[in-house]
Parts: sequence; structure tokens; C-alpha cells
Amino acid sequence: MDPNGGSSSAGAADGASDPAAARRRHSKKPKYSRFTQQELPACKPILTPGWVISSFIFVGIIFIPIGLASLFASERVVEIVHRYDTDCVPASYRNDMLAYIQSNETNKTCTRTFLVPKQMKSPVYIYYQLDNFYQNHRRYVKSRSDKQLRSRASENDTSSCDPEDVTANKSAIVPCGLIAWSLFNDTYGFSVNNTLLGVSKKNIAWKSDQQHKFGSDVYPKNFQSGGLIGGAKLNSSIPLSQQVDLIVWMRTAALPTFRKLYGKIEVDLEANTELTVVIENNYNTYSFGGKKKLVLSTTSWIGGKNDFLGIAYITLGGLSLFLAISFLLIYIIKPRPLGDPTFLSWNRNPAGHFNFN
Amino acid sequence: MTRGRIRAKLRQSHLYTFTCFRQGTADAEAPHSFDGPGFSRIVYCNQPQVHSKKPLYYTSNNISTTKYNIITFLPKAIFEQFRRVANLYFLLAAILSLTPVAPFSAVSMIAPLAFVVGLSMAKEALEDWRRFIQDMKVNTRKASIHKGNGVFGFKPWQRIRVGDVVKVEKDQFFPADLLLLSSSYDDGICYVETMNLDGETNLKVKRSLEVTLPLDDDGTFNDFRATIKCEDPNPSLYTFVGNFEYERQVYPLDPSQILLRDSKLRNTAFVYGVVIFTGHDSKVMQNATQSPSKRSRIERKMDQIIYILFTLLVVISLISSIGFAVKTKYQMPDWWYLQPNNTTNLYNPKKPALSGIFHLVTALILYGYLIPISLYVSIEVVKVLQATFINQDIHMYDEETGNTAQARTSNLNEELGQVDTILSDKTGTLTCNQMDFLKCSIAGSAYGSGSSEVELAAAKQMAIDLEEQGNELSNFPMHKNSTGDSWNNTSALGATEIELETVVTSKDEKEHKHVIKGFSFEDIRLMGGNWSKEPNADVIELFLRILAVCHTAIPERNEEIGGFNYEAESPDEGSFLVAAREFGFEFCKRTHTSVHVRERYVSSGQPVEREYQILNLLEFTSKRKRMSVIVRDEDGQIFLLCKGADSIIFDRLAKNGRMYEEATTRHLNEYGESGLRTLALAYKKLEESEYSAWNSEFMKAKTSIGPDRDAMLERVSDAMERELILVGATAVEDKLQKGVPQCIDKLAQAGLKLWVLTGDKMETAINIGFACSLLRQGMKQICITVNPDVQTQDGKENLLLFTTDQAVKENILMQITNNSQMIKLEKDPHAAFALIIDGKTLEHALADDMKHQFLGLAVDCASVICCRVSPKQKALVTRLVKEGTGKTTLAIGDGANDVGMIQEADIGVGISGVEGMQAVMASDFSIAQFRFLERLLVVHGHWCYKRIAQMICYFFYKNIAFGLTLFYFEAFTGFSGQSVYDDWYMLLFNVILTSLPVISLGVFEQDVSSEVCLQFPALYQQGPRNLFFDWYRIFGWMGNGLYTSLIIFFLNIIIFYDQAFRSAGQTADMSAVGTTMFTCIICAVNCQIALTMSHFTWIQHLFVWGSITTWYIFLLLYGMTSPLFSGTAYQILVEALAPAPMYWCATLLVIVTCNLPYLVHISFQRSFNPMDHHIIQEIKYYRKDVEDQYMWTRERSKARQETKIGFSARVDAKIRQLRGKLQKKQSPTATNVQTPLS
Repeated sequence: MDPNGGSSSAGAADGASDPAAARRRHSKKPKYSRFTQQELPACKPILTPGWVISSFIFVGIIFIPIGLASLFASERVVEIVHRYDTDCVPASYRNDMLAYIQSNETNKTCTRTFLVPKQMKSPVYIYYQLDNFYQNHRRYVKSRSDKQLRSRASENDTSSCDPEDVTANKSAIVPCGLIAWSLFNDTYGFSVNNTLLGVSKKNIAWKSDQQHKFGSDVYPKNFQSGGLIGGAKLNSSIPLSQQVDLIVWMRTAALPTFRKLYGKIEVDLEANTELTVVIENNYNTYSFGGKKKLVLSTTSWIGGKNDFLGIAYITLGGLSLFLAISFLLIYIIKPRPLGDPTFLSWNRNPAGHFNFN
Repeated sequence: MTRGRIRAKLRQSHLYTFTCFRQGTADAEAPHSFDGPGFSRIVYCNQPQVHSKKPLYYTSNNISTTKYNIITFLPKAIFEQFRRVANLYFLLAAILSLTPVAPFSAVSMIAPLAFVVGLSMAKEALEDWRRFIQDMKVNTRKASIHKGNGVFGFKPWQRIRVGDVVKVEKDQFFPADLLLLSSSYDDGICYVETMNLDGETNLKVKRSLEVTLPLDDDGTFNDFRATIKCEDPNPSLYTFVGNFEYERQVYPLDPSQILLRDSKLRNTAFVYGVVIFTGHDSKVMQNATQSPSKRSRIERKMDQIIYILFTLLVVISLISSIGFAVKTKYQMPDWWYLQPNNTTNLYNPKKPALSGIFHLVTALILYGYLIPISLYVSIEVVKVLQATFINQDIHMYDEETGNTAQARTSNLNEELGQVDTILSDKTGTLTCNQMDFLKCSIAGSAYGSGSSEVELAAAKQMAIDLEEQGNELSNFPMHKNSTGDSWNNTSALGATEIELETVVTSKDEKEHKHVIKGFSFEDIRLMGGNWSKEPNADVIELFLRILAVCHTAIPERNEEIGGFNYEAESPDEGSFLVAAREFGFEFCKRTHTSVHVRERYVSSGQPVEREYQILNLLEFTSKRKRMSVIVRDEDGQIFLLCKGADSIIFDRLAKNGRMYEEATTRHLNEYGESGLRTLALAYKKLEESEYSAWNSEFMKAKTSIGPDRDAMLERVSDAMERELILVGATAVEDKLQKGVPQCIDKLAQAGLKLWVLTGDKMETAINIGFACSLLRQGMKQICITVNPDVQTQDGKENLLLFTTDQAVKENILMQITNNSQMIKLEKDPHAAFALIIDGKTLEHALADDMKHQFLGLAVDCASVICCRVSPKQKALVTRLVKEGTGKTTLAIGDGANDVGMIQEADIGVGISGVEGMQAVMASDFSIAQFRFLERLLVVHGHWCYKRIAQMICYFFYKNIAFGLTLFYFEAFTGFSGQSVYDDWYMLLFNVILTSLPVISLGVFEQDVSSEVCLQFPALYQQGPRNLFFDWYRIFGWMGNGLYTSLIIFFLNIIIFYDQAFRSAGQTADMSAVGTTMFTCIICAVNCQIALTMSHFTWIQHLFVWGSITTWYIFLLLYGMTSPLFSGTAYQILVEALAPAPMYWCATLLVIVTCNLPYLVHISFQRSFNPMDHHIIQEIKYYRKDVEDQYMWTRERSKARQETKIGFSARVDAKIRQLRGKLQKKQSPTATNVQTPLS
């Protein structure tokens, strides 16, 4: 690696008297170790038909039960999805829903009723689902200040919150940024047979968010006080750590269609119960044509209703079993004894021309 | 010391031709007159203090071969790093990441780059540090310097200054370029070994000016003052021009007074010298050049892949920026939550084009994960480790020289696995360059019953062939009855294998038998003094006397055994002296005017020391091809003793000197056939008057000055070397190196072609060709030579040089086309051709208009031997093969004359034997013996090729798999440039989480063990055929990456779509989806590499499974850090993901789905289209090789490329021949006999 340096010094090194040279010569001999000679004990697994078939069978018999279990769990989940964005706009405004939602005068309250198809065991989770809402847009995602949310001392740390960082008179907005500013502000009130159902907001946010990311000494300040009102307003006497709706909202969703936890109903809902929901339809999804849905769902061990996982597992398990059988048939029909030298290229092609493919 | 004392105070100046010039030349030769540029150096001897200030300040003797120093390291090393396009791209990305354009935080761009560049730089720094330490060792070496007042003291080398007087003792290196002032010999000569400069091992003589001879004692330097005016520092080792001004006289200086740094004082007790050039001014340092940097084929292809990926990167960036512009223009105005009216140019719906351009930059950074940032650094790490394994290989360690194999550059390891053609030097590479006196022909009778290796090999082969025949015949009846007749064929082959091995072992035994180096003569007629009883005893005596007297060697007393060793210029000469010693003519002493020979067995029986006065010495040159001495014996008779090439000597014989010509010629031919080197010996008696007349002529010629001096000398010498009387001829064996025929055989079986390029004459080259089985009987030899007829004819008839040249050319072209035609028309598939061409013809054949025809012919021939080629032609042939065939070439050689070829070839291998360092210094790999080439190529080359190929494919796979998921996610974010992963995950992806497994793949993977590689040379062909790095495979892996990315992304997206992902009702936010996806990627790519590997040591297990574990540990620890640091990933594993069965289910599903197609592919391939290494793995796995050793041996001997050279080819040819005969006999009776072998 070093043609010039070596020439002067490597040569010079040989100049010592003979015994020393002999010693050095001896020391130049590489020491034997299994590592340096690349002879470390190794396991060299090869794909024998046995291994191939059994691994496919193994995948099959592991996956199909998992698939069945999750499909079963998913089937048990009761889910009510109710779209209300259009229905909650009075017929007169149907042609200009944007005007309806942006107007301060219109009555935003809307009452919807629907049947509970199956018994829903408590807790029944209430979600709102938005559509075509790019909560994962880079401009949106970046527009927040974790420091400010966490402690009062960093209240003025709003540099990353552009364009919703400070008010016109340069005092910091708490919480700043587009995410907080566009906080969802529809509300739902539930009643069965005119009895109000309590909506619990307990534990709908991650505990770690409440305890460590949203400070208990940080209170909303200058929030939604600018010319442009985004979404919900916050009660400035409640510290951020208690503003669970904000906390949930600020966990940005991965996809433009997303659900967020609104609360939970902590009583069982019997089948065929008529559920009345009073919706305050405040949030503007009309300008970008987003749907709004109210979702009531129970959960199982795999979470909400999701047949895909079960189907995918069953399909893959089935495919594996199919492959196992195909390989088995192939090995029976056209067996190749393992380590049979007749399959070596020089035996397959005795002309001496090698064919490796 | 003792040796020095013996020779001290001798005047030897008459011994060497050039010293004779001195007589009367001191005044005849005028000092050089020069001034002007190039000759400005002035040195004030013994006044070094003068040189400590300008303008006479010269560079210090401190040498530094380092590339950097503390200050320049950072800028220079960084500059070097960013000359790589990929690194430059990442640098730009890192700089841009500081702007708001960047999709990631700056740290996640800068940290991996810093890591990767830092690692490369650390490697550079380490290498440079080693160089620095080496330099320091040299710089602090002590030398004895005149300190004033005639006192000498020791000083480190680096403090030696120009003008210092230095005393160098025996076996020490010269610390700088010195002017020789005086030596321990009173005629001021000294012997110098220049091995480190030009690789020549023989000693060279230097002599001082006559005027400085009295300065031979420490004290005399007290008031020594002189001035040297000389040339400026330059790299020419063999020239020096200068004047020496001493005591108001000016004397000219020439190279014979200059002692060069790094050469070594030998056989001289001490010398005094004055320093002229120090440090980097010295000739050796001026000579240091970097060898050209070479890149392997795989790496060049890898660059193409990187370009493909760059294109892909640009394409998807364009797609996403166009998508972004469209979205921004038409949809973003409706997205009130982004405040589209209050935005920067990055997201301005009013200026979608501008935003789109900004986004293009963002996208180029974001998708940068398609280009593996750590690829270069990982490959570098892997190659260094591979090189370490090559260096450490105990099987390539040579006990005799104590040299290991050395990968001098690590970037060609994988190229070793793809070699197609080997171009080999002969002397010192195939042969030992150690001559053994084996036979002689004296007075027309041949002596010496020992047999050369060629004869031995031939005899062995005969024995084998006979045995084969026996086997075949005895087997035949059974053969006819047995059902599976392939058995018998293979038994014959099995036997061959065993025989081959016995040849090897028996040769080893033979080597141990030799006690006397250079002498393996066996003939009692001459041994032990018996020669005196031979009929021609007087001629024999003369013969031996010529051996003992006509040479330029120096005897060295060997204290241990009491005899003499000889320092000879050529090994031939050494072997002659050893032979003469064994026959009783022990050359024991050389003085400046005479040679002393201790002669035993002369009638009296007592050793008598005779003195031969050397009158003149006519040196050997490659042009003259002879040397002569003119001696006066004790009786006062003058003889001219001459030895030289037979053709030259025969031309110069007197009419009465041709008595033995016929017999000797016959013997010479016999010797030639057995692969021996021959020289003819002759003498002539001179009359006193005749001699003195000639001598005065000779002296005149010598002292003359001018361009025609050499021609004059040549003419005068020529006049003397005539009318000779032939005495006899010698035959020495140029011994083949150990294991060469076997190695050639194996290499041929591995499908490699071997070309021999040698400076030797055609006959010798052909002999050696036979000795190493490159040629065999029955091979059609195509000799392309300049047809002498054409030349002479044209020479007579047409004196125009041009026409002659043209005719010669046409003639050669005709020979080439005729022979090509002949090969094409050849029907027999087993016919083998050998091309033999000499240097003169090659000159024409390498011309632009003919070289392709020549190459075409050469490629069709099984072996090619080029003789009488110059170093330049060697390089040209190498280039022709390299560029003409487009295949990988490997050049192997040991001497300075091979440097051109070594540097030209794709891979240069130097033999680190006795011939010095030049070839090794220029080479990429050095091995101690030719036979290690087999292991270097077939084991290390094969492994390294597969490792690097697999590693690169996997690298691209994993980065495509990861990079594309970013792109898909983009489409779901309105192409806004948001990444789904945390910055830290991405940062760790290339650097930590996937790098170690791939490095362990690159360093430790073995498809089959080293023994199997050697036993099945055909496996090597996987490399030259490039089965593991062809586009099919590369695109296969890229496709696999694409598939993996699709599966990872879409399965996760669908699974985590909108519903709750855990029983507590929470939905998955971006960090949960991102983390799950990333988990899937890490697990999938690491499982993939586990499927790719076929060799798991604990290291692979640790790295592969450790990487997955590291990811979870990282996630755990990262989640525990402050939320300000970890952001959305805070507590993600503990709180959100780990308790959710969905997370684990999704991971499992994705991993299995990703790897299933590959598993199916390899299962299917192994079942129906197994490659050779698969089957061998299976045989080994089921230990079938142990159970069925017969099958194993059979397959081993079958596992070779169809080869037309080597031992095995000989055997094959023989078997075919016998089989043909048998078939003829049997075919009428037994029709069912098959010949499966053919």
C-alpha cells in the first residue's frame, strides 16, 4: 500500500545481523488461529427438501391459527360508522356548505340517531374520523414546539411554529403552531332514551404525553386570538396536560384518512338500542371536501375492526401449505437425491462445457 | 570483521574493466564543464555549517513518506474523501439539510456522513501513522559523523546535513547519497548491494577518486576541505555528473563514486563519504513513484449500478416534485389548516413551480437512502479484513524466505476470483533462478549422470502412462462384462490423481538430498579426483581451470564450514565455481591483479595454491554474450579463457579448435532438450608479443573519449576473442520452483490460460515449457519467427530497409493467418496448439495492424510462450491481452524487468523471493512462491469474489427496500416531503442496524471450504463467468428490494389504516406506523441476509441477530430519553407498541411475506437447477465424501475444466490414445463399449 515508504525502510529492516533476522523471520510466520485461517467452527445449513417442506408447513401451521384468531377477534368487534358532514348541513346550505360552516350565525347543532346493531360492551370508544385531511403534511407536522408544550420556561420558544407562532404584537401563542391551531372542535353528546350518556375522556391520551410532554404548568395563552380562527378554543385555566383533546390531536396521523379518539362510553350498549347524538358541527372540512364520520367501536386484543390481518395471515398460511405440498409433489415426482454427483455441471454436460444456470 | 581484515589493504583496482580506465586517465579526462540550470548544487565538504543557511541550505535528511502532516491532514484527507461522487452528493445533502428545504433534521444527514467519512479518514490516518512510524525508525537510525577535529560520533540520520563526512561500516545502509572518499581497501574500492534500488542481488563495485585515497583515517578529516559542484537532485540512478575541487585541483566525478541511499555496504570494513544529497533529494527518494491505482471489474460495475440508482433517485424525485407542485397549485388553497395564504416559497400555491423546484431538492435528499452511503466504507472495511486474511494465511507462508503472502492493495481482492489469463515471467517465477551444475561435456565426452527435473518428470509420466496402459488392459475384460462401464474409467482417473501426488512428494525428498547448493553433478569419472585418470585429463584440467578462473566473482570465507562461498554476478557463475571447487579447483582468493586457485589432485596429491595473474577482463554483456579473461599463469604463459553462448563461441573457433565441435554440439542439443542452460568454454594461448600489441590497442581504446569509445572497445575485444579452441560445454539446471507443474496443472483445470513471457532464448523457453507441462508431445507447436530466408534473401537482393521490413511483416502476417486457418480447420476436438513467438517477431506482431490477428491466434492456442521479450514488450503483450480479450489478466513476475507488465495487468503479483523488491513494490499482491498463486486465486479469489458480489447485491437490495418506502409514503402526504420515520431511525439504518451483518457476509462467507475449492478447481470458473454479479442477478436483487419495499409499506398501511391498533382504543399515529414499518424493515433485511448466507460462525450469528436485538434495545433506550430529544418516539415501545399484539403480528406477517419469495426461489433453484457448490455443500453436509470416498475422488478428478495443458492433459491425451487403439481392436466384437470420457 505504500510503495515509497516501504522501499527505504522495509529494505533497511533486513540489514540486521543474521540471528536477529532469523528471529524476525520466524516471527513473521502467521500464528495459527482458527479465526485468521478462516476455519472457525460454523454451521452450514443447507436447504434440504426436508427443511424446505417443514419450514413451509411450519409457517402454515403457525399462521393459519393466528389468522383465525385475529379474524375471530375482528368479527367480535362492533363498529358503528356514521357520516354526518353533509347530513348535518341544513338543506338550504347544501350548495354552499363552506358558507354555512364559516358563518357565525348558523346553528351548528345537529341531532342524529342510529341503532346499535349488536351489543356493545363497555368501554365503547368514540372516534371522529376525518378524510382528506393531510395531518401528515410536512408543513403541518413541523409546525409545533415540543419545548413550549412541555414547560412554561420555554413559552417563547416558538421558532418552529411558523406561521402560527406569535400574535400581531409579538407575544407568543401557547400552544403555538398549525397543529394546535387547527384543533378539531366538533362535539358529541350521546343519549339513549333521553338519558344522557356520560362521555369519559379518561385515558384517551397516552399517559406519557400527559405526564411528560404536555406541561402541567403550561396554560393556553393568546390561543385563537388572531384574525384567523382555526379550530377549537382552549380553556386558558386548564393546563395543557389536562387538555386531552389537544393531546390526542397533536399526535399527528400517518395517513390523510384518520380516526382520533374522542372519548369513551363506559356503559354497555344493548343491541337495537336507539342512540341519539347531538353534534356540534363546527369543524370545517367542507373547504377541502373532507368527510366527517363519527365512529363508535368496541375493541378486542387486536384493537378495532380489522379483517385484513386475519385474512392476510390465513392467505399466507394457506400459500405456505400449498407450497409445501407442491414441493412435496415435486420431490416425489422428480426427486433429486441430495449430494448426487450426477447433477454436477461436468456430469450433466459431459462435453466439458459448463452450464451453471 | 574478519572477512574485512583478510581483504584489507589490497589493491584490486585492476580487476574490473572500468578501473583500468584510470590508468593515465586522471589527466586525460578533463573536469566536466557545466553551468546553468540543472547543475547548480555546490557542496562544501566537511563544512556542514555552511549549509545551514540560505542560499546553500539544502533539505534535511529527514524523510517523510507520509501523505499528510498534522496540519494538512484534515483539509487534504477531507478533499480526498469528497472526490467520490456519492460522498459529494451526501455532502451537498448535508449542507442543504441546514436549510428549511431539508426533510430531516440536519443531524440525521450529517451524522452518518461524518461517521462514514470519519471512518475512511481514520483508516487513512492509521495508514499514514504507520508510514510515519516507519519514517521515524529510519530517521532516528544512527550514523557515524565527523564532529570536528577528526573525531567521529553518532548522530541520528535525520540530523545529517549536506557536507557532513560520514563513516559507514560493513553491512550498514548509506544514510544519504554520498561521495565515496576512501574505503578500508587502500585503492578506495568498496562493494555495494543495491537490492533496494534495482532489485539486483549481485554486488557492485564503487571506487573513490585517487586524490582522496589518503583520507582513510578518522584523524585525517580534521582539516579536510573540498568543494563539490554537481547536478541538481534527479531520479536517474545510473547517472551522476559533478566536479570535485580539492587542493585547488578539479576532478570530474561519475556515478562510480556515488554511494546511494538505501544501498548497503558489503564486504568492505568501512568507507568514508561526504554527503551530497540528503533526504528527499536523494536518488532513491526522487525515484519513488506511486504505482497506478487499479479498480476491480466489480467496482466499476458497481459504479454503473450507482448511476442507475441515481437515475432512479432523480426520476422519483421528479415524480414527487411534480406531484407536489400539482397538489400545491390545485389543492393546497383549500387546505385551510396549512394557512395557504400565509406561507413561504416552499409551499406557495401561488408559485407552484418555485415550490416544486424547492421540493425537488428536498426529494433528492429524502430519497438519498436509495444510494447506500455506507457502501464504500463497508466495502473498504471488508476488503481490508479480507486482505488481512490473505496476509495471515499460513498456507501461503514460505518457510525458506520467511515471507507471507501480502495483499499490498486491498481493492483488488475480488478481482482475484475473475482472472482469465495469467501472464508469467519465467526466471525467478517458474524457476528458482538457482543454478545447479548438472552435466558437462569435455573434449567431446559427456559427463554427469544426474537427471534434470524435466527428465525426471518425463520418466514419471512415462511410468504413469505405462501403468495406465496396464490398468486399462487388465480392466478391459471385466469392463466389457460390467454394466456401468464408467467405473473403470474413473478408476484410471483416480489413479492419476494419486500418481500426481506422489510426483510431488518424491520431488520434495529429492530436494532434501541436495547438500551442496548449486551442485548436483553425479559422475564418479570426475568426482573425487578421478578425472585425472580420464583419457583427456589435460583438457579436463583446462576445462576446470577455466571454470575457476574465468569469472568476476569474489570468494567469501564461510567461517562455519571452513570453505568458501562465492559472490557472483550471475547464479550460473556461482554454480561453476562451486563445481570447480568440488572437482578440486578451489578459487580461494582474489587480489587486484590475480586469482588464486587452490588445486588439489594434481599429481602430487597435495593442494597447491596457484596464482593466475589477470591481465585483462573482457566483461560479459547481453550483447556480447561471452566473457573472457587474459591471464598469465605461474609459468609465465598467457592464456585467453573464454566462456559464452555456444553459437557465439562456435563462430569464433580456430580451424584447429574444432576438434570436439561435433560431439559437443550433439551434447549441447541433448542438454537443451532436458531443459538445461548451456555455455561453451574455449581458450587460446597467446604469445607475449601478440598480447602486448593487442594490449596497447586495448588501452588506447579504453582511454579514448568520445561517442565511439564503446564501439572501439567492442572491436578491439572482438579482435582478441577469435581463433579459439573449444574445450567443452557446461549444462546447468535452472531449477523449477517447488510445486510449479502441479500449480500450473491446477490453474489450467480451473480454466485459466497461462502465457509465459521470458527473456530467455527460444530453446530454453520450450524446455521449460515441457518441464512445467505447458507443452507436451503431440501438441502442435506453432513457431512464429522472422523467417531467416526472407531476411537473407531480401537482405541480398533488396537493400532498402523499408522493403525488408515490409516483407518480414507480410511474412509474419501470412504465418499468423495460415496457422489460424489451420486451427479453424482442425477437426479433432482434443488437438492442442502451442504458440511460440520470439521478441523480434513480436515487435511486428504487436503493431497496430497485426495485433488483432496475432491475439486471435494466441487465444486459440492452449499455451503461449513468448521468448526473448523485452520488459516493454511484456507490458505491451499484457495490454494487448487485457484490452483485446476484455478479460481479467494477472501478471506475475519477480524482477525489475517485470514491473511494466505487473503495473499494466489488471492484477500484478510480485514474487517476494531473492530478486529484490522492485516487482513486489509495483505489485498488488506479493507471494513468496509461484505455487501459492493457486491458493491465492482458487481459494481467496473465489471467496472474495463471491463475498463482494453478494455483499454489493445485498447492499442495493436493502437500500432500495428502505428508500422506496419513503417514496410511497410521500404519495400519501401530498408529496410534501415528510418522512414516516423518526430521523434517528434513518440515521442508524445504514450506519448501525444493517452494516455489521453485511460486513460479516463480506468477510466470513464461504460457499465451500478451502480444501474443496482446491479439490474442485472448476468452481473457480464461477468467477470469470461472473455468475454472481451479472445483470440478471443484480436486477433480481433490485427486484427483490422493490418487492420488499412494497410489502413492507402497503401491508403496514392497510393493517394500521384507521382503526384502533390496541385494546385500549388508541389509533396508530405516524410514529407508531413508522416505528412498526421500520421494525419490519430491520427484521426483514436481516432475515434476508441470514437466508443469503451459507456459513454461520458465531460472528455472523452475533451480527445478524444482534442487529435486530440492537434495534429493540435502541428503541427502548431512545424512548427513555427526554421527550424533547426523542419527540414522538418517547416511550413508544414500552407504552404503545410492545403491549399491542397487533405490532408483533404485523411484524411477523411482513417479515415472512418479504422473505417467502426468496426462499421459494432458492429452494426451487437448489432442487432443479443446483449449482456445483450446492451439490458439493450437500455432499459435505451428508458426509458422503467420507462414506463414499471413491465417488469423491472420482468427482474431484472430473471437476476440472477441459484443459489442454498440464499433467492431467497429458494423461488425458494418453488415455484417449490408448482408448482409441482399444476401440479399434474391440469394436468388431463388442459394440456396446462406450467411451464416456470423451
